[in-house]
Amino acid sequence: MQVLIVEDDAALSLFLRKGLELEGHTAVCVDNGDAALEVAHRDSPDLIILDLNLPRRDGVEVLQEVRANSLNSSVLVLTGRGAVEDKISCLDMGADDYLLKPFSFYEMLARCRALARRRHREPTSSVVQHGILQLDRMTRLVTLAGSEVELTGKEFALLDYLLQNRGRAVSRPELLSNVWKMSPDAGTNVVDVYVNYLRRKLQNGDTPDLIETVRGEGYRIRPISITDAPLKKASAIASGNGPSTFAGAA
Amino acid sequence: MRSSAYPEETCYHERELLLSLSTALHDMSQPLTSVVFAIELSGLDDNDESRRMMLSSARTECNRVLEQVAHMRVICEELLQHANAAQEVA
Repeated sequence: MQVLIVEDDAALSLFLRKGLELEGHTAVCVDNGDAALEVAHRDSPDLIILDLNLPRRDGVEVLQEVRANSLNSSVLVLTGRGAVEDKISCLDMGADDYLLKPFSFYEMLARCRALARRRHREPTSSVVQHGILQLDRMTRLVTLAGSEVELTGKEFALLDYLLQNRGRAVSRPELLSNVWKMSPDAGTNVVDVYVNYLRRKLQNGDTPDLIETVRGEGYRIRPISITDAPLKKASAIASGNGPSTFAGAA
Repeated sequence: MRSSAYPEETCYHERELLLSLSTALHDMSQPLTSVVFAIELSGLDDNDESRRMMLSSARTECNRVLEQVAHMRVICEELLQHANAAQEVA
């Protein structure tokens, strides 16, 4: 299991890492909330062991942002706050489990195993949520701030692929190969054209584009921040931008 | 029961002290967890040097626990002095 340890106490972080590695897991340690989110987006770890008291961005904010971005990692919260209200609010915010310090290493391992079992039992959801954007693979429905956005088959596939790979830039050749099933070196600007169609359909007031251009790399879904401006009514354009039929897709 | 002569700023200071006590108690949970971990991990490791390092770390973490306990004792002393003063006023 790939584990991200988010703990600002150097000694405890070291023990957590050592113990998990002795049990055959791979562990990465960070000591602040910003770094935690960066690694969570980049590596999509199976489990995040999250301390609540952190510098820069506390554990509660990290937890909220992990869930707002629908990262699939399980989250085990470690804290010295023992009040029932703290436990309830953490679990309600999306933590999968909660351990009150001080705790035994063996108990923590048992909880990690339980979370891993739960992950294997749960079928992968057909719904991908990314902030105000929701994509349902079963119904092929896309909504932005609750309003339906009509997409062509290729636009849907492109958005789905970008969402599956959120947190990293996806190159044009990779998109050509995986979404269009074309040769990665095909001389075509079809990716740029479709990204523009998608951007227009996913416009939402003054908020930045959901699809970012990463110079020299490709395209990336913009991470949703809990500090983003309040949601505005979606101005998703239902039609009139780009091809409107599956047949029109390249 | 406290006398009405009990100064407002003293009440405020007491609340601050109680808050510090709660924070110190919370801060103690870090080294305490580390002590538990170090001792448990030392039993898992077959390597003698690694075991020795773990136990040495456990001792270091015990010192951190002691520092926190000493800090909490100072706060308790001060709270007790306030309580004694309040009783005299009453």
